[in-house]
Amino acid sequence: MSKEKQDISRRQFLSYSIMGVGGFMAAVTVMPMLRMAIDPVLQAEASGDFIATNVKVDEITSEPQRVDFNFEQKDGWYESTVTQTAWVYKDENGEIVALSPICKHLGCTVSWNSSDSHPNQFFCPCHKGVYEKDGTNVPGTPPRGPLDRYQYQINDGVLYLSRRASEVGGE
Amino acid sequence: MRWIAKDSSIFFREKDYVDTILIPLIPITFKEDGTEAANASEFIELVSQFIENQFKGRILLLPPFTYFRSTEEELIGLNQYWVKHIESGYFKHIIFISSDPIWQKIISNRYEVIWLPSIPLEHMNETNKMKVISNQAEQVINIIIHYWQEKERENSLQKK
Repeated sequence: MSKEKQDISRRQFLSYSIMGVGGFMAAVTVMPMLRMAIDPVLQAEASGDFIATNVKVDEITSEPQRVDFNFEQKDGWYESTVTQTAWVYKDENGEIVALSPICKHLGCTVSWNSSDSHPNQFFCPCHKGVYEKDGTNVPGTPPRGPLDRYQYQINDGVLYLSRRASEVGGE
Repeated sequence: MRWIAKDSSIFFREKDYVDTILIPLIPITFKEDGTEAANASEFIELVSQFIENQFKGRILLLPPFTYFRSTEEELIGLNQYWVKHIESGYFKHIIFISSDPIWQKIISNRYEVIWLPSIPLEHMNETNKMKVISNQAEQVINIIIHYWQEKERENSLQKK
C-alpha cells in the first residue's frame, strides 16, 4: 500500500525541499534590494500632500518673494517642525513658480537680489553660485543644475506647496 | 555640514569648498548660575544649527566645544588643544560662537569670535523660539558674509 502511494522518491523530496529553502533564502536577500530600488516611487506617494502657506495667490507678483511654510515630521519617535522656504513669483504667462532656495552645488541657501554684483538673480553667498530668475544656473558658476521647484496647488485663493521640491527636467 | 555620517562623505569629497569651521563654545557649571549656562548652551546650539543650515556647503559645524567654567589659563589651554588640531585640517577660517564674554577677552586677538547675548528661552513656545533664533542667526549670517568678503579682499590685495 505504502509502495504504491510513494510517487515522490526520497531523492525528489530532498531536492524539492532544498529548492524551497533556497528560494526562500534568495527571496530574503533580494526583497530588500527590490524595495530599495522602488523606494523613491513609494516616497513620492507619501509626500504627495500639499501644505498651506500664508500667501494669497493674488498677492504674488512677478517679483520673487520669500515664503516660509511649516509642517510636522516624524523621525522615529521624534516629532519635529520642518520649516521650508520657497521663492515664489508669477512668470510672464501668469504661471506661479515656486523655487527651492537650496543651492545645487553643496546645499547652501540662495536668496533673490541679495548681492549688489548680481541684481535680479539668485545668489549663493558660499561659493558665488548664480541663478537666473527662473532658477537656471548661470554657466561658469559652481552649480551644476537649475534650482529645484515645488509643486503647487491653489485652494480658495491660497497657495499650497508640496513638502519637498523636485528636480527640474528629472534626469 | 555637520559632523555626521551622511555629511562627512560629502565633506571629504568636496573639502576644497568647505573652508570654514564653526565651533559653538558651550559652558557647563553646576553652581547657582547653571540655569543661565544651560540656557546659553541651548541658545548657541540653536543659532549655530540655523547658520549651518544656511551655509551647508561652506561651513562645517563641529560638535560643541564644551567647557566647565574655570580660570582663563585653563580655558586657553583647552582651547589651544582644539585649535592646534583644527589648524592642521587646512581650514582657512575658524569661527567661534559663544554667549560667554570670556572668549572675546582671551582668544579674539587670534581668532574670529562672535559673541551673542543669550536670550532666555525657558518660557517660550516653539514658534516664538524659532522666531527669536532666526532673527539672531540672520545677524550672525551677515557678520559671517562680511567676514568672508573682508578676507577675500585681504587675500586679493596680498596677491597684487
